[in-house]
Amino acid sequence: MTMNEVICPYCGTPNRPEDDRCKSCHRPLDSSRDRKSRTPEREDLDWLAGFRGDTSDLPQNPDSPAESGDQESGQLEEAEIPEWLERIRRRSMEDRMRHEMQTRRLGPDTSSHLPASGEESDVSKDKSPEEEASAQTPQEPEQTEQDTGEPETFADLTALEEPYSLGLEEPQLAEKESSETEDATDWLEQILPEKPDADFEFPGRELPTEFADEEPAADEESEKDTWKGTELETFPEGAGQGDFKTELPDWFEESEVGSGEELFMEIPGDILPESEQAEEAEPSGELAGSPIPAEMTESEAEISGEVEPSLPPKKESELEEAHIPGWLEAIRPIESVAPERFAADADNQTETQGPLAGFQGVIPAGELVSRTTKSPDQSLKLQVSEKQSVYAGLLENLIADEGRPAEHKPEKAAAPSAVLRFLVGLILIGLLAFLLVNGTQFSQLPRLYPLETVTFYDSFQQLRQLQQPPARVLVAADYEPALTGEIQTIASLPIRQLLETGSLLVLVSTVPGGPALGQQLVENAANGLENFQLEDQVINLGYLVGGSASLASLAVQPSTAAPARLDGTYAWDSPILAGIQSVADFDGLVLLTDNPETARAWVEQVQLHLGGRPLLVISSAQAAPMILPYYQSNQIQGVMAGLSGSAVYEQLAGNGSSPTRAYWDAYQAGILVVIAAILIGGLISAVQAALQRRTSRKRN
Amino acid sequence: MRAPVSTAIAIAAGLVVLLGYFLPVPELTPVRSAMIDWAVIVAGSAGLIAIIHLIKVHWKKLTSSQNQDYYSLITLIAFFLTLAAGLLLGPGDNRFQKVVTSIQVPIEASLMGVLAISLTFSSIRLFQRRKGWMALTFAISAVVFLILTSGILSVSDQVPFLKEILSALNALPIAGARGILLGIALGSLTTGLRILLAADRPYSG
Amino acid sequence: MPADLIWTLVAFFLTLLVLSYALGDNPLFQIASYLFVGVTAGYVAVLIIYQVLWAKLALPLLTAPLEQRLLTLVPLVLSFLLIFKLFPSAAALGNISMAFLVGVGAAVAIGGAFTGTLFGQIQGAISPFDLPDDAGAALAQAAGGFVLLFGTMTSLAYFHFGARRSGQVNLRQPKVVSLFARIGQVFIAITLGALFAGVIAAALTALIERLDFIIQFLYSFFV
Repeated sequence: MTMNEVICPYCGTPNRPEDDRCKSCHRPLDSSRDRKSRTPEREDLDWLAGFRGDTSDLPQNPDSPAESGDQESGQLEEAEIPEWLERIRRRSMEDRMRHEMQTRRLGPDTSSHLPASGEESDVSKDKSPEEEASAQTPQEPEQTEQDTGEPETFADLTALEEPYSLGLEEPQLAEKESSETEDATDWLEQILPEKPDADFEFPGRELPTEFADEEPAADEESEKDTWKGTELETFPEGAGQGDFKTELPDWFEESEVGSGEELFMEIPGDILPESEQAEEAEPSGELAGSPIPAEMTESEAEISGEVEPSLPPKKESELEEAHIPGWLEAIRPIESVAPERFAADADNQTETQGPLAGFQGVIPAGELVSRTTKSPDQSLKLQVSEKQSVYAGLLENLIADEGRPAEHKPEKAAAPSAVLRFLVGLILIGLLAFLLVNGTQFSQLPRLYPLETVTFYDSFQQLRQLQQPPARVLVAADYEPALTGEIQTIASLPIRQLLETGSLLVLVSTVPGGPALGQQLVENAANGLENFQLEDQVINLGYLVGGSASLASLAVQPSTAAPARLDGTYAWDSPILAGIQSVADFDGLVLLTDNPETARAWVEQVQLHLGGRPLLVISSAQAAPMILPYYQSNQIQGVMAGLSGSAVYEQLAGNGSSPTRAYWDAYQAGILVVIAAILIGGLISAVQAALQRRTSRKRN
Repeated sequence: MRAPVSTAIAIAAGLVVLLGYFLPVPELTPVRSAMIDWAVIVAGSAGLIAIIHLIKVHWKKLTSSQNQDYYSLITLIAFFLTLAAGLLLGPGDNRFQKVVTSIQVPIEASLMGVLAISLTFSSIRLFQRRKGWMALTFAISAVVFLILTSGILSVSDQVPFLKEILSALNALPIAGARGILLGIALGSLTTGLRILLAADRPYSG
Repeated sequence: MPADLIWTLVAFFLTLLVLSYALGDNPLFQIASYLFVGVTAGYVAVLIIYQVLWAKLALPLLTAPLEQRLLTLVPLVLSFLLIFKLFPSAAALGNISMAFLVGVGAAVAIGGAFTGTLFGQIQGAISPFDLPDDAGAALAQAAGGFVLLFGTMTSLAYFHFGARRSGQVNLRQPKVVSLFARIGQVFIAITLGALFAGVIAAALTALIERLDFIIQFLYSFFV
């Protein structure tokens, strides 16, 4: 609906402006155009209530294009300008005719810049009374309502004298002005000469004489409080000390309060809104130095929009006839579409960056983008049938269901998880402990030997049989403490075999715990060996920091990569390392690992530099599947993985009394328990699925 | 460009090290080695910084006015005692190594033990969690390899073709594992190249 | 009381504390966890101080020839800059060190992946087709090699996320790739099954070792 449409007061149909009669009901439209002489249909309407948020009860002005939404409700009300307001308007009209004409030249298209969203309302810096009220202390809500109105009355009465607001016969012009933020400079220039006038009414305890007649009758006590509140809002400290001081009116200078600052000091803190208090505590220095008082920005911004709150906050019974003037009606949607008080918040903000730094209440672009406003619910009263409401309800439920996450179906279990878990743990631990305590050896060791274990054995035997000089083997203890039990169990025999033949072991590790674990492994493996001196055969080069990078360094320059022993002393003066320039100088590399990533790093960074020396891997069972491709591609010469690999190795070595044999029964029993668990779980699931299918088939 | 100095350093260092891999230029080798050694030292320092940060976090948790975490006190005490003992005795001392063998090993190995219980428990619910032929394949594979690992079938080594069948089964995971390894290698390659081409700059955060 | 016995007692009680998690999360388990974090952090700090800062930084600066000392200044400065990472306001200064670390790490990863895994695994995939003279063995080897090659290719296809635009918005994998990917799923499921079996085996071994430790301890303590 456009602004130029005329709404029929009887049926609410929009008509063209040139039409004399309504195209729908054929009643004359003139009456709706000449509202001022008509008595409002709802005399008891409180137009102020509209500004408190209950705008649905506002008298609707069909002349106001912005009220098109309300017109649909059929509650058309006549708009009358109060007498006192009309006088002001008239006088201002005469004074500002020139400016007004200039404003009119903005063109007819300005009507398209309707304040249809919160953006425009924010731009105009409009403060609705409810926003003002919310800015007051919550302890005195009733007083607040009154307080907020009155001072603004005077502020805005002054503002009415401004060309942009008072001269507006057509509401779209006022809206145009409020939305034309780009013209802020011109705007300010036009207003600046009148700035003192605009602000005189704030600090004064007396009303300016020129407005004395027009001052609406108000409760004196509330008026007094109101003044204080208003001064706080619109009179920053810096501004009061600056330009204002020189231009204070006589009546103000004669008063006890000499400056804005003093006024400020007199105001009890408890009536200050929090935001105001914060501002008070932290006055902007930039503002103080500014030729334009900060509140001017606000006042200017309020020019187009603040007219409404300027109306006197009288008691409802004392109000003059509650007719909404056309110009006021045109502005009303600004706050009706922006019911939240972000305009007030924005006014309280001070720009900290950019050319507007120090200004208060400038256009808060960020807020405009980030904050969305509710649609004017009060203006949308749909005439829906019962059937339509039912459908709407269904649709609403449908949409709500879409947004709701699917309900988590608890897993069906025969027993609660905790109990079942406890039972499983109990069975497993009990079974394993029983077998360990009894030391049974009823199960057979594996007879099928994986190829990788056999080649590991062969390569290892070749390595340990190097006697002249003894083999120097780089042993990488790259396993975590978590799998020490497994690795130490399976690696103890090969390491012992190396030590037995006098091989020299050089321990390194890319895992922090590795050096200590490697040391412990060697010590345990050497336990009981005759003529064995750890220092003569083993050197621990400690921890290689940096993962792959340290391995790349170790491959080409071991003495740089691992210069010191575990205790920090220089290592390369040891006879064990004599003549070692690169990893190719070792006779072989034995990698003890529980992690395929570690194995991959060793293969990628070191294996190529081994110069054909064997890379043998003793791995945890969990890493073996990812290591085997390297064995298959011949980058690794042998893998002994897990307890089963160790069992094969021990059989190949003819050693039958290792920890592997001691653990084998428990190990096999544990594996069988897990297999049984998988099969039983699968069986239960299959039965459940079959029963469910059967049930659903029966239902169908 | 964001962080030009850091980007230049990353590219230069990376290119020198990478060229050292592929170009047989004798002059490049010592430079490459030096850079890798520097990286190792910096990595160690970064590890120490990370530990300091960890302790800082625990200190904050302990002294926080809200949600005070008293368990952090245990961490802090354990850290400082271990640090003091290590600095006094040195990491090569057998007594200090008990920190690993008598504290870290029992805790971590026991956690693995708890994992065994949890895995057994979750095995029961394997098919309740996931259904479909992928889950079935996974479960069958798990059972087959558990049987192979346990050595239960060893008693039947006299059965003809069993050895061949088991060998073939044993080799089957290699295909998937190789695919995964190649995927990882290609991923490493792509990520590394993106860093060296400054398309990714994880250091500029 | 001998030190070894004390340490064994410590290990025993820590084992019990952690195994108590089988009954659910509890304060004893929390104590063990926090203790573990503290001890591990302290141990790693000691290792770094001795093995990196002292052995690779301080010793060369104190004892090495002048040229090497000057070279050692580079990692010293880079390490010093890393300290700024602890302070959010100056953390950007540490970016230079991180950039160096990341650059070298990326190059090492590229080189290793290229020469170690890509070349090696491609070679491993085609090596079974280097057939022996014996026809029977050659056939078996070729069949095995084909299965492995096919499995590798289809597994890689499973990780191929490239797609062709079909129509306006729909992105579709080429049919061949889609088919390969489905077959690759089977091979990956088999591999994951093997990994699961391996993890169970490793965890079981760890549990058995811990139980054995407890039994041995109790046996030595009471019997």
